[in-house]
Amino acid sequence: MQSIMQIQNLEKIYGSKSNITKALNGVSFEVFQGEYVGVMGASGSGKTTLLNCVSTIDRATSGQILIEGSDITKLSPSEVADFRCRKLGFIFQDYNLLDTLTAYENIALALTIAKTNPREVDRKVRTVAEKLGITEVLSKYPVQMSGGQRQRVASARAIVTNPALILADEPTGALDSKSAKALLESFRSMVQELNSTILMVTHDPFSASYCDRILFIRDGKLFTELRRGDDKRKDFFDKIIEVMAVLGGDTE
Amino acid sequence: MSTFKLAVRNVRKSYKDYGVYFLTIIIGVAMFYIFNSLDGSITMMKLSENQAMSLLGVNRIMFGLSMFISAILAFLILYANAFLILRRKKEMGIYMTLGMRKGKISQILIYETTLVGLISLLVGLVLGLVLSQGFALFTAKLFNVSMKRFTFAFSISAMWKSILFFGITFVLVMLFNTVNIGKQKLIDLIYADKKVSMFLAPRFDLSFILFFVSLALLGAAYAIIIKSGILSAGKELIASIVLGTLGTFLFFYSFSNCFLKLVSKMKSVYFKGLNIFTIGQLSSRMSIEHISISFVCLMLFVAISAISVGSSVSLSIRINYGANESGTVAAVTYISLYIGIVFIVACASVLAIMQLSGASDNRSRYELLGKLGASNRLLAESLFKQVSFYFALPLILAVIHSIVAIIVMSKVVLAIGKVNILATSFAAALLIVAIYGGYFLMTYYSAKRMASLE
Repeated sequence: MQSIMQIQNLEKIYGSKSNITKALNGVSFEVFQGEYVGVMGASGSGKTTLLNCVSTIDRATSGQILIEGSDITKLSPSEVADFRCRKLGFIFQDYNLLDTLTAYENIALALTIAKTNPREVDRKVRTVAEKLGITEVLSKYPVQMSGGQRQRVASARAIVTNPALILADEPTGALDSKSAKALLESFRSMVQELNSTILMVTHDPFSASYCDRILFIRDGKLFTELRRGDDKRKDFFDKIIEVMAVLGGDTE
Repeated sequence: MSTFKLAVRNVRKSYKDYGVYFLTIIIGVAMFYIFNSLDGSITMMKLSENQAMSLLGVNRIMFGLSMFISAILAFLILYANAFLILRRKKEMGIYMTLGMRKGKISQILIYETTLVGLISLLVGLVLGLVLSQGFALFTAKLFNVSMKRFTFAFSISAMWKSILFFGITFVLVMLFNTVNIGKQKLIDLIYADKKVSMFLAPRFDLSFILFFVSLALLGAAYAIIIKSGILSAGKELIASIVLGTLGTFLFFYSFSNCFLKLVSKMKSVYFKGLNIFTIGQLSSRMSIEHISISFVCLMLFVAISAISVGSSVSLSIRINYGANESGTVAAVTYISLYIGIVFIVACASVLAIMQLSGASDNRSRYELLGKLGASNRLLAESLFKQVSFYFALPLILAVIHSIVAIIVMSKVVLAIGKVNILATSFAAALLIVAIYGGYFLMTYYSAKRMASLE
């Protein structure tokens, strides 16, 4: 398997001198092509900081983040913008669709920002919409869609540029259980059929049980790692619950 | 923190964000003072008794006109205030959840209005005082008299009139805010920014047909007035005004949808950079604000034709009748300049306030686009396109209206005397471009700062 992302000894320190908080205290792991990786941890564990560092929204204090071989912690501001639109796809908890644009336009915008050839935009939008089952809402505005539809449009926007890595931050957080399940299943098909790579931060063991592998983070360090292997989803879910119990505290 | 301190801090912050609005009040005060200050400058000039009488007559006319202009400025200030308050709903919700009574919040707003009022009145009066010296010189030149040794022109009556009028306007603003706060419910205030805007551009509608109807109406209005001319026209003039007004409103009502559809067909333009976003922004704003934009366009039209026609009419009177008609010349010149400048300032600030009031929504949009990988340069470019388009669209139609008006009026001007209306129109255009362009640039830079793209 080809390695997509290597994180080495990542540290993020907030505050100065007398008042230091180590949000990330030497985290290292690797993510491979076509993997669906979950990141779990209590609030304050550093999982959001990790996501922000990977997405170049925040800058790490030390350590390396190699994505497809290049270290993104050393990018200049203009390279960062370029990196985001070419290599990353974002899925946010609150969808973050532009309310003045239709679903179609929201998806197309990700392509045009990445300077896709105008002649290919339409075909790409329609292909991805079909895969995610949102063809019928393409001409609708976000306010006219259900939460589940909005999140699938947001997912389509994230994968349409064919990014190396898709970052999802609590993507099911605002969804009811039925839409959440549908979304998680479409994530699985994105991984299996499109060979996408997903890094998903979540506190919800049900969402996590759809992943291939889960990284548990505590106090800014990698606490343990759980692989699904050939387990049934239900069994994997039980294992997650066990680790969460050992991890202690409330997991969010 | 005391209520007063809070008010001071709020005003300081909004001075940064809404510099355009404050500038407009200041210019309003200054204009009001200048055009009422003729009585103060009379003593400076070597005028004959006759000339002095006619100048005082002009001053009375200007005061009458000021009533009309003040109504417009008052409306503008109330309108802008309503916009600014709308934007601060969440802030007031926070005050209320912290246990502040509504009376106290009203008190903060009253302090704020008082501060803003006092500062803009003071600055406006000082500016007016300075500019009125030049105005006095200009008047002396119109009357073809020389100045007695340089004295400082000062009109106490103009100062009191300005203070009285703007004082009343700010009291109205306070009343409006107090009543408004009384009506608000906490839950609405807290969730003010969560409300989804219900804008939905219809995808299949009559906008293309309506657009062509509006063009036909405008064409008919132009044809009628050009054919019948202004002097002989009675019914025709009214017909032309009615058709032109209807056509203007319909034009802006249908324009955004037509434009959106047309551009979305041109894939190579539409699918380039942030154009999808830029056009979405524009058409959503236009579909909400088309009525205001129509008013802006009509007012710009009045302003442009007032300045260009007024200046050429007064010039031709001066050339043909000489110093005997100095009073008339002065009256025509001042009326056209007064109306023209105040209207342009009013229009430009309405456009500016509409653009800036959406800035907080926009900020989150730009943040998102940044996360999706749009560089700041690309975002600033999109913002520039939005503001330019917004300022240019009503201006373009207003200029076309004005060209027709100038063609019609040039016959009248030629009837009085041989003056090239084009030359004076050109001077008028420069003045308009300077004011309007200044507002445009200020709006762009404020919007850019509010979207934190700097």
